[in-house]
Amino acid sequence: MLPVNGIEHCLKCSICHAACPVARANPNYPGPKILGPDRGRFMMNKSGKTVPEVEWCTNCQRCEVACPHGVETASLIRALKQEALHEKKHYWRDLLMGYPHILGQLGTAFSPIANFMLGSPIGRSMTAQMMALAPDSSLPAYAGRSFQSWHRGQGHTASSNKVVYFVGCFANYNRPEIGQALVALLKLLDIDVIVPKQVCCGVPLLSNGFRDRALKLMSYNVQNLLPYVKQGYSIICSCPSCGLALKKEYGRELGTSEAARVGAAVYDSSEYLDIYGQALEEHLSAQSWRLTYHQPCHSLAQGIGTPSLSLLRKIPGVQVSFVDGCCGQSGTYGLKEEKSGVSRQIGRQLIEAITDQKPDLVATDCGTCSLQLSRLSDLPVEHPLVLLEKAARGAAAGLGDRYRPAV
Amino acid sequence: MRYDTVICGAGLAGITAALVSLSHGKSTAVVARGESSLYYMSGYLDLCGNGDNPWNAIDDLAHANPAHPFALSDAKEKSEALAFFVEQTSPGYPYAIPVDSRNHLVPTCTGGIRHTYLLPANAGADGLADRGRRVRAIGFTDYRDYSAQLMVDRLNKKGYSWTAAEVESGCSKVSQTSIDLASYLDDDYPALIDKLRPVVKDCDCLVFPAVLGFKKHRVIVEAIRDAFGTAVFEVPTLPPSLPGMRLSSALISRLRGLGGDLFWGFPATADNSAGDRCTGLIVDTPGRPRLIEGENYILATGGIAGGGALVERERIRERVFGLPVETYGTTDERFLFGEQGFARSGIRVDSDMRPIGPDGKIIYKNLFCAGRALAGYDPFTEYDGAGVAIVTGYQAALAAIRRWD
Amino acid sequence: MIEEVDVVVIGGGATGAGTLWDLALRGIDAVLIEQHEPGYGTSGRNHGCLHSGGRYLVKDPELALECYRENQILRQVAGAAIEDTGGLFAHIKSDEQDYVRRWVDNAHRIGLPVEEVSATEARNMEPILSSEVDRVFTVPDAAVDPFDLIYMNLQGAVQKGARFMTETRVKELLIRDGRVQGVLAEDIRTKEVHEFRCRAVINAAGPWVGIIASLAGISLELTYGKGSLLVHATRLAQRQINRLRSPSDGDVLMPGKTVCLFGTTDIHIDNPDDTVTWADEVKSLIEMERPIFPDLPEMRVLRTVTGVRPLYTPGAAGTAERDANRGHAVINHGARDGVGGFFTIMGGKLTTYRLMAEQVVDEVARELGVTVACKTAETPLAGLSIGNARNFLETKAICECEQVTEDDLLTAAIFLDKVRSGGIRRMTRLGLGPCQGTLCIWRGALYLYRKGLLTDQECLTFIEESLDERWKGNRGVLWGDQIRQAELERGIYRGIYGSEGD
Repeated sequence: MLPVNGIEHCLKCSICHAACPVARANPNYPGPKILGPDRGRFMMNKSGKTVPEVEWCTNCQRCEVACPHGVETASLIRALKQEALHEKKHYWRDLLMGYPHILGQLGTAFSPIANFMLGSPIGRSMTAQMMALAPDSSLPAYAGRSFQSWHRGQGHTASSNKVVYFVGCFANYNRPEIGQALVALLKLLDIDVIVPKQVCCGVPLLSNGFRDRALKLMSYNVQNLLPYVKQGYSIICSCPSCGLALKKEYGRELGTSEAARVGAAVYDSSEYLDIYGQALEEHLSAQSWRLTYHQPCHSLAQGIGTPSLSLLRKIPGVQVSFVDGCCGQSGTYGLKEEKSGVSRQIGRQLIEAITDQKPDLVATDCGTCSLQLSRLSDLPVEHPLVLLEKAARGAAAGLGDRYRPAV
Repeated sequence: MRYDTVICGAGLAGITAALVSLSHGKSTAVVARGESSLYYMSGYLDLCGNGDNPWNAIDDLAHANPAHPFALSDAKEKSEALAFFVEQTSPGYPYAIPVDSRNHLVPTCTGGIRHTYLLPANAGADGLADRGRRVRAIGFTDYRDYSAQLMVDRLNKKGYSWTAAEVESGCSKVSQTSIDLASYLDDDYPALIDKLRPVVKDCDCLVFPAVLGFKKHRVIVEAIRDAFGTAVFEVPTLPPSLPGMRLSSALISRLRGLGGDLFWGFPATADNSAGDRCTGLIVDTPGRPRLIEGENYILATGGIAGGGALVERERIRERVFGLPVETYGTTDERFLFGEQGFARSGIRVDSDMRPIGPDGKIIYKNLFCAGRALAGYDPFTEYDGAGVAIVTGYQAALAAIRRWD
Repeated sequence: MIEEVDVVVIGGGATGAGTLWDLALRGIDAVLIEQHEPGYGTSGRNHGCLHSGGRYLVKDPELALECYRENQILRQVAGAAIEDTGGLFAHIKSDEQDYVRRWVDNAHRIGLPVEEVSATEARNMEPILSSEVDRVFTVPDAAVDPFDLIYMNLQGAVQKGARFMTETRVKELLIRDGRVQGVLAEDIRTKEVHEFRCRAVINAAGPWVGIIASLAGISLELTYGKGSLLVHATRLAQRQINRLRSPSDGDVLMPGKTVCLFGTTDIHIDNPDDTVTWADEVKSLIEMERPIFPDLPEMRVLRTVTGVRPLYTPGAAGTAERDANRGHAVINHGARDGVGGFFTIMGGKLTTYRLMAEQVVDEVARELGVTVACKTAETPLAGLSIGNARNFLETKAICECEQVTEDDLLTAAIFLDKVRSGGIRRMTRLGLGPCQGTLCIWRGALYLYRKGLLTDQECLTFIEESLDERWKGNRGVLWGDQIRQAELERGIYRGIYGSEGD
């Protein structure tokens, strides 16, 4: 193994350790420096031993963003997770949760049953026990109809401007309103939306050490997206984790030029809309919301700045504040029985920072962040796209329903 | 998106520049590759020299070395810059200008004595000025990066009569760096106060390693002060530096509050295609590079440690713009206390902080440079790192604004 | 203070330590005197190759056989210091083709097990190899940690009642009636003088053998060759990789635990203390890496290591030494120079240190009338109880790069007669990793201070000496990540310290 992921550039300055939300919250987690570049160096000796502690990494990638020396710490830890896969305690649970698109298809098809299992006290307790989930975890409810199914029923506009939408499992199966808001906003800009065949982006598998399986999902998506990219279409992601995966992980993990080509065409939804910020602004009506915006870690890690913040600030009359930090949810991490405590502990500080701002409403781009924030605070949480679409729909749109988990 | 000012680097110099630009109503973006050296520097913000009067030290340095960055400003500009900076820290982690404009005398964790200029306002200042002061140094038995006893042993040989005590922090984390302790105290500081009760007696000041909380620092210091009626002083230890982290976090939230944009985590290179003007920064972000354009650019990427200057086997390369770097080669066989020539390498600028070549000609009309990227000084031997960063950051931003107006 | 002892061994390298162990096993009471710390000299400044003999097959098949035999013995008795990496001999297209044939022939002749693998297979085994490599053979090379090896020998000897003194320099050999009677040695810091009354002195001072011999008025014909190595920050090869050509500079890439070493140069010098690496030496090493390991020059270099090889060049006639060209020599100065009870052992390889010790102790035993035979080839050396954390995760390690724990430091501090930076570093690997002590020098010194093993002043001295010693190896490789590391380290320590003398 030749040195990878910038392992040689580590100066042991411990900035990554200071940036790691898990190290602060979990007394048993040695932190990214020790698990990444330090342990990685020992693993370059073929007799190096795996360490089960890597399981605690949430893959938030704050360590990589914070590192001034270009060490790809999160990738190093993911590689060690893969090596330690056989030691995993909840192998089958983690594997099953790595296929949210299959769960989502079942969940939307049988949504009354699924939502009973996720929402009612009895169902929830059964599910938690079966799946080794935290008894108080708030699983997202399934929508009665997936976004893709809804979108198939929509006609296409005559516009020659088209983009491809990589929906992501959360917007597809749990909150189709997010995708619908995107379609509506793009329609205002005279841009039509294409939704190709797609499966889960692969992040849940990759973050849990199932790299080989993740690669299969990634290849499938590349195969389906590439023809559009070749025609010059941009790919829009409303989920920051899908977006980061497509931009960064696909190229790195698959190592193909096709994956890199797809990655180069990907935009975060706010990143894309921000390009049309001026045009969009004209459609936005005044609102009296007092908002706090939480930037998800995987949005931060895209290096796009804070386009959602700039867009929300364009809504007349809206006060927007910004809070920095990780919510601790990290996809399915916060749902898991053994990790939910740590996840909650991470989120607590962010919640304190948010409530200090005394907002009426929290905006965040990530579905699972919104789960955590609404679980830990008593505030309504919305995707910026949904808020923008409401403001664009005109009139004084109400604050909107608080996004409710299945509970 | 096009900005009035684009700043490369989010350390002391870069953020100071950004705050100046924002306070003049200019749209401002900061592009930074990761956290800055504030994360590992002590949080003592030196102005100049390891003596009582920093202003004399500045004059001496600028006189002896006309190429020193301090030679590019007068005392009035320097005072303005420091006053501006201190004002910016006040909402988050306030620092204070010494009342008599003289250096403070502070201890180091090896029991050394040194001078510094700006200290956090709640630091109880002058830890060492009064030799008769009854100081009790508190250490933690389970914190391996600090020994109160060592510091006291050494200081007492220099005429102090401090005492030392150790308590268990109670932090049960597998990793015990400063930030682990600080985040533990953020959550559980009342337990610390109970542990301190038996050991705190007969003293006017309590000295701790700099681990008294990150987010809750202010509350923790106040709680200790209230409980014991003493001053509270923190001594920096190994990185990560909590005072530096608090300062960095305070300055960045100030920047966000003023509407500055931050592009975080990825290296940038300049688009130099347009001759004598810089036209954009190309940030190496995932997926594809991102172009950030501005009227004026400020280079504040730091020096060798910060990553602004890339030392290759045969030359030193300025990483973003490829500017000419003035280099000094000789090294001393003593590591810590020797003169290391490379430390003085850097970018030479004109009186408007614009980088110039060996021929003295301006390289880009709209590029300004500040902080550790500058040539001609060694902050570690001259004790002027923070001073140069703040003053030149301030100057560079003002120069950029002048050009723009 | 006067002490009585049978034998004084001068020099704490592999040979000296091995000699002390051999003496102890034969029941001969001995003390070892080392001017710095064990492993300070040549033994601690080399690749750490446990040669299979492959390197000497063509030039000196007898030496090759000797290496192979010792290699097999050491795997049995010093296994804890050895990692069975295996070795490759890789031939580059442009190097002499006929050499390969002669090399293989001689391997068969002496019975060295070599096996050819395809170049493609070799590159799969070791991706660092150049595509210019056309023929590759496996050999039973291994890696030996010289520090572990030396301290294991000392530990074994101490358990049998031998003693060693560090930071003690021999000032005088007491000679009366044509016989050595004792040794005067002084502590290099306190200048305290120790007198040893003894029946024999073994000069195993490595590059300094000439200086010791001169204390007896004896002149040894010595020249000094300086060899430098580059230490890369990570382990870029799993096996020892040798360039298959007539032995020359820049032939070997050697993995050692977490790092790998490339070298060496060979430059004539006049002073055995001249271990400064020159800038053009570094430059030429980098260039020597390129043909066989094209990616290596871009990989982070932590430091240089420079050792001095003493070369014994006796006059043609009238000398009593045996077979000097076989790599090492045992000199009985009673026979050669009329100073009875005085013996010098010099030259040789790290791989043959045990054999050298055996041969010199055989001579000494004969002189002392001891008939017990050498047992070092059959008696296993216990490993050090240090460095166990490398196989799991010690999150509270003092040195996180090399996983040196508090227990490791304590073990070393108790074992060593003096707690000084050099001995602690060599015994535990404190500060040997990529950060070169940025965090762990301070942390380690504080730990020893808090345990009462260093005073406050000694604690600061420990830190300053450690920093200067690390700097010595860093100064030659100040580019890329390593100069960045050095600036970071300077900033941190200037921050901790304040100014000098405070």
